[in-house]
This record gives sequence, C-alpha cells and structure tokens, in this order.
Amino acid sequence: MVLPLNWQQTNHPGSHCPTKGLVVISEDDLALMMDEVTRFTHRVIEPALPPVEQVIESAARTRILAAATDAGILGNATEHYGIWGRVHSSLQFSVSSLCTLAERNAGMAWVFHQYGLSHRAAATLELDPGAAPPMLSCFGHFGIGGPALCECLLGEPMTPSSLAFLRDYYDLQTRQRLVSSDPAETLLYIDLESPGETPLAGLVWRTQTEEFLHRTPVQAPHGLNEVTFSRVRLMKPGDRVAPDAGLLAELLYFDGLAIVAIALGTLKRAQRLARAYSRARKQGGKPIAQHSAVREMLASLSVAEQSGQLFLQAQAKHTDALSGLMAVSRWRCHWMPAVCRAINNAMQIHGGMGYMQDTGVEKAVRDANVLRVIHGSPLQLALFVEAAAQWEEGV
Amino acid sequence: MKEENKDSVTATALEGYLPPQHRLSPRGAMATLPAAARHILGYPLETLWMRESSQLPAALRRLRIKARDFSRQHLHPLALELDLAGHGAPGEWQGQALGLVQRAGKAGFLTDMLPAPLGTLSPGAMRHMIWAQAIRTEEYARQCGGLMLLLSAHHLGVAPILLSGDLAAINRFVLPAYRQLKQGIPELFAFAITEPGAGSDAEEGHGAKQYRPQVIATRDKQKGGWRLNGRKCFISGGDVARHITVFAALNGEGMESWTCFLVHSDMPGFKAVRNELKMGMRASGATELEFADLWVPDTHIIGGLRQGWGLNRGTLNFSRLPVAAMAVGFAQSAVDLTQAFVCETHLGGKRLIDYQEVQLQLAQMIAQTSAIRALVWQKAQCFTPRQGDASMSKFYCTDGAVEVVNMAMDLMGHHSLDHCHRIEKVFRDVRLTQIFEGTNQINRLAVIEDSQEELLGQIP
Repeated sequence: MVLPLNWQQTNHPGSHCPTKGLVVISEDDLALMMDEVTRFTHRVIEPALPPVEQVIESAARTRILAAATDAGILGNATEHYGIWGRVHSSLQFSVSSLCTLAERNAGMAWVFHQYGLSHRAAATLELDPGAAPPMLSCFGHFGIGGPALCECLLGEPMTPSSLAFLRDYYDLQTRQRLVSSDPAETLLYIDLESPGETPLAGLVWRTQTEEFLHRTPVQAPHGLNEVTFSRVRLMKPGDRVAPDAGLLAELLYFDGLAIVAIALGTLKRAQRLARAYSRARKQGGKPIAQHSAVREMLASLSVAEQSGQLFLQAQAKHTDALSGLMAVSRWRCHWMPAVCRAINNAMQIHGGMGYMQDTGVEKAVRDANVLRVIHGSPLQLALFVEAAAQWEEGV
Repeated sequence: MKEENKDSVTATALEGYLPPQHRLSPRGAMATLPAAARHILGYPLETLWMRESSQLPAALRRLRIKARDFSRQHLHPLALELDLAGHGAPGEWQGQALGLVQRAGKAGFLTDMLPAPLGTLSPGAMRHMIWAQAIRTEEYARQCGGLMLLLSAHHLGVAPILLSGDLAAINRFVLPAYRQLKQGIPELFAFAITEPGAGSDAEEGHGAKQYRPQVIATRDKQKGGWRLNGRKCFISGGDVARHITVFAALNGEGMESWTCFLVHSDMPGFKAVRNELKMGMRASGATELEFADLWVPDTHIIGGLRQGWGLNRGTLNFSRLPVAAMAVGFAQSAVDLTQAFVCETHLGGKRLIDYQEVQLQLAQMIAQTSAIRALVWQKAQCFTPRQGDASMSKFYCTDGAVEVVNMAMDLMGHHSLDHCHRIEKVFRDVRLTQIFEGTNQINRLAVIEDSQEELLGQIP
C-alpha cells in the first residue's frame, strides 16, 4: 500500500518540495523492493565485474542500465519510478538502493544516482517527455556556492558581493564545470535567473549540445571509474526554463543523500573485506583480528557504518528540501572524513595486499575520496551550513 | 602623498594582509630599523626551502640542490605518463624508465652509498649517510613517487651488503655494479624479505617467532652451496633488478636461521613471476619472485650463516628514515600543487588564496610538512639510527604526510580528482608509505620494543 507523502510547504523558495509523486512506502513494501535490488545486484552487476576488480566496460554498463529499467529500479522517460522517481518511490527506497548497489560497485551506484536525478529534474520541468536523461550540472565551477548560495536558496535579499559571487560561480561560458553524468544531447545546468533583482537559480535546457557545448572527458579520474566525468563549457548561453530555487534545493538535497548512501555502501564493502581478511590472515600465530591494533581499526569501520546507517534512517525523510539539504550537508561535513579514515583502515588491515588492485579495497579508498570532495569538500560544506545557521539565528 | 604613491606601486597584497613592503608588515618594519638592528634581526628574501637548506651541512646542501634539479628535469616530465602506462612483463624495461635510470647512474645517484672514489657520495656527507639518503629521496618523491621508488629500491638492495661489513662481499658484488652504474648500465639491486604469507612477520620479532618461513635454503651436499626454494612477493624493483638480496631460512629451522643470499637474476631457477597491479607508485614494479631449486654458492652468503635476521632488522632501521623522507616529499608536493592551484584559481572575483579559510588550511599544510621534515632531519643525523628513532619517524611522518595530502585534495575540491592535476596521484603514492617497510602499526610497536628495557625498569 502506498500513501502520498504530506510534504510541508514553507515560505522560503528553497522549500520546494519533493512532494510530487513521492510517497511513503510501508516497511513490507520497502523490504520487497529492496529484495529486488539485492537480487539485481547479484544477478546483473556481479557477473559484469571482471575477476580482478577494474572498470565495468561501457557496453556492460549500458546493459546494466537497461536491466535496471526493466526491473523498475530506474525509471524511464515516461515512467518516473525507481531511484529518485516521482512515482512509486520514496527517499528510503532511493538511498537504500544506492547503498546496496555501492556495496558491490560505487561507480555503478553513482551512475544510477545521476541517471535517476537527471530524469527527475527533466520530468519536474516537463522537458521533452520521451527524451533520454540529460546531463545534469547542479554545481558551479568550484565548491558549492558558499554562503552566497545559502542566501539565494533562503530567498534572502542578496548583497551585491553575493550576487557577484554567484554570477561568477555559475558562469559556464568562461569557466569549465565538472559533470559526472553520461554524455547526452542535452545539459541541464544552473544559472542565475537574472542578474538583477530576482536572484533565483534557474534551470536551463539546451539541445544540440555539440553546437553550444564544449565537452572534454576527464582522463583517468581518481575513483568511481565507471562514471564518465567531463568538463563542460558553454559556447553561448542556453535557453532558460522555469527559474526554480526550490527544485535546486531538492536536487542538492537528494545529491547529498546519494553521496552519504553510496559512501555507506562503499564502507560496508570495505568492512566486509577487512573482516574476512582479518579472520583469515595470521600474524604472531593468531588471526590478526585478535590483535588490538586491528580491532581498533575494525571498530572505526563499525562506528562509521552504524552512524551512517542511523543517519540515513533518521534523515532521509525531510519534508522540506532546504532543511534536508542543511542536515545532509552537516552530516557529510562531519562523517565523510571519518568514512575515509575507516576505509583507509580497511586497507591498512590488508597490509601490502590492500595496496594491490586484486582485493578491491584500494578501489574503495579511491571511491571514498571522490565522495569526500565531489560536490562539496568538508571545508566547503562547513562554511555553507554555518552561513545557514547564522541566518537562522538572525546574524 | 608620497606614502600613497609608494603603496600604489608595491606588489599586490593578499586579501587581509598589508603589502610585504608596507611599514606595518614585518619586512617593511624591519627595513626601517638601524643597520645594527637589521643585521641582528635579519629578514632575508628567501623561500622556506632555502631557509631550511641553509641549516644543512654544506655537502648536504649541495646534494639537496642537485637532487632537486635532477628531479625537476628528469622525473617530473615522466611522472604522469608512466603512472598511466601499464605494467610491463617482469624483466622488460619501459624505455623512458630505463633512460632515467641510466641518467641517474651517470649523475652518481645510484652509487652514493659509498664515498668517492668507490661510490659517488661526497666525502663531506659521509658522516651523514642516512641524512643524505633522506634528502635525495625527498626530492625524488616531490616529483614522482613511482620513479622515486624505481631509483631508491636499489639502495635498499645494496644496504644489507654494506651494513654487513663483509668487505669480500662488498668487493665482489657492490663495487663492480657501482662501476657499471656510473657508466649508465642498469645493474640494479633489490631487497627481498616479504613472503606471500608474511608481511609483518618478517618485520618484528614476536611475529617472526611464530612464523614458519616459506623461502627455504637447503644445503647441497654434493655440489656444496645452497638450494633456494619458495617465493617472495611485493619486491620493489624486483622485476628489473640484476642482483637481489634474498633472506631465507635454513631447512628445518625457524626465522632465527634467516640468512642473506645474493642472487643474480640470470641464475637458473630464478623467475620474476609477475608484477602486481598497484594503486600507486606505478612506475616501479612490485614483483613476485620464484626460486625453484636455485643454486647459490657459499660465497653469495652475506654476513654469515644465520645472521640474516639481525641484518634484516638493521636494514629496516636504515631504510625507514628514507621512507619517512619520501613522505615528506609527498607532503611538499601537495603543498607545491596546492599553492599553485589557489594562486591561479579564481572564485567570486578573487583568487582562492585570498579566502581566509584557504589561507588557514594552507598554513597548516606548510607547518605540518616543515615539522615532519624537521623530525627526519633530526633523527637522520646519526650514522646508524636506532629502531625506535627510525620507526617513530616512519609512522609519524607518513601519517602526517597523508593528512597534508588529504587537506590538499579538500582545498582543490573536485579539481583534485583529475589525474592531470597530479594531486590524486600523490595521494595514491603517499598511501603506500603507511604500509611498506612495516605497517605503521608495526612501527608503533617497534618503538615500544626499542624502549622495552627503559619501560621494564619502571615496573615496580
């Protein structure tokens, strides 16, 4: 049984809500849906992985995406269900699915996240139903927009310096942005709606990207190797569609949740590898799991895993996109460094083996690093959330 | 008016600071002091690198400049390309890497464990041999971790022979190879202790006591000499080395019987099985070696039968300081890359370096790098470091360097994920320093092991 979610509407523009179509799913239904995701991971993703963990090839990735659409884990152009879907979906389903997928391959989980979020954005804006999901770029050329973006999302009168900051931040004609969606014919990106009095972020839709867009693939990125990273720059301005700071807040909120969920899955994978290795490997005549040095490192994995799980259970249900964004930003700021330390400990437990690609733990280290810095490093997130806190206190 | 003009022509200041020449800035303020005060206080226009170099003995100062220039000229241009190049089959040289080794040999960087004329170490630096190793290694690592390891693993292979004090072995094995290396012929050494079932067991006594060795030396009763059987793994430079110092237990005995044998790569029964697929330091191979009934004569025993364990521990004490130094090099690389990035990247109409949060984090990176360098330099001043000093330097500096690199990635944001910006490679490279030459956990325990008598004396 599915129930419509009663999203709260608040006054500021960032409170646009993920109301449309998102529903609360009963525990039983969620369990059934998650069983499907788990089966999918074992049946479809596992066989596509090479014996020594390396990048899933492009053709295999395409097959996986098609299979995920058939299984209802991802939506398509006309049926907006699945991860970040607007119909028969929920935040809990989306984050749980991403976490489960990332337990096997964080890069594929990121591909699913971007695919689902792009579909959602395009559907919300009612862009060209039936088209493939566009490339999505919610961030400017560096960082996350800092206190200026906070002012913008809060609908506060912006200072000239904040306006100038955001204009530069979102300037896609003179500066390149990193995009982590698959190449597509369209690009959805954020710009200032107007340089004048209405400093709302807007979404711009562009077709015929080859005419308007310069795209440079990123060679040998640090991690998430299944993802196609590109640097993009506009040759000339795109078409504007529906200025909507609320949608932007929602996309940023969901993106933050996805980062936490995928990091949690990556962490679980590293934890599983470290536990198995520490039970099998002996040193000084006993399994290394019995050495305090190793137990301490295993504990860091458990603590990070448990806390991440609790956060997602408690926070992946914000009815207000902006408050959800702030909560997830605060959490990432605190938790992502802990995740990276814990996954590094998983590598340390493996000793020299951990540094080799055979075990898969080095990939987890790199993937976690990417998740720590992409779409806001802890330092950038700290400044962002503190700006919001000061606004709430009337500073 | 005159003062305003003066300000207007000075170099621009960072946001939040007065221009360096301003009378309220330290340089400007001290420039107005009387000559005697200026002489006492001093404020020369020098970089931190130059100021730190000035603290070194003259021979090491010259070495630091030479190593920096060599690394910039020969390591830096190859770093990214060789990082992405696939691992070749064991024994096959990558063309550019071979060229680098040849140039390093001719420049005297592969023979500087002995003073001239036997080697190429400046006689003035002989008192500080480990310090010299540390300085050279740091400068290599600053430009490329993989190439650093390619050039440095060789010294680790030579070390047990030199540290054994076995003049016959030095004369027989090291000096001929040094003569070849000086001519650009790649007669490299490698050091082989790690076995497929034992990393840490080969690094500390408590573990070794329980460990059953896997590379076994059996006496050849007919021919004399010894037969080696078994495998070693993760041997840095083992794929291209001509000579390998291999540690093996005598048949039927435990780790106490470990003996160091010098093996040539063309001996029958020797095989470099495979190169590992590594996370970083990819320009240098980590190789699995197989010894299949490999015969070595008695003359290839280094330092005597059953002397291998002591020689191994001594070699690790010798090598852990250069590992700490390579971590310093990675931290310095992170500082270099971050400084360049924040000075050339603009956000919201100003340079990143003009943001206070960036300045604070960069200052922390600079201070931490300088602090770990100071630890290495302080501990490397003695000729033969103790285990505690070597191990504390190793784990403290490598952990510190990883923190610095993390801060660099955070400051550079998503730009740090791009291979071409180099910092992600630095992360992959520096990560190994926390693992090899004993994990940092083992090195912490080694500090306590070294303090054992002192601690026991305090137990009532």
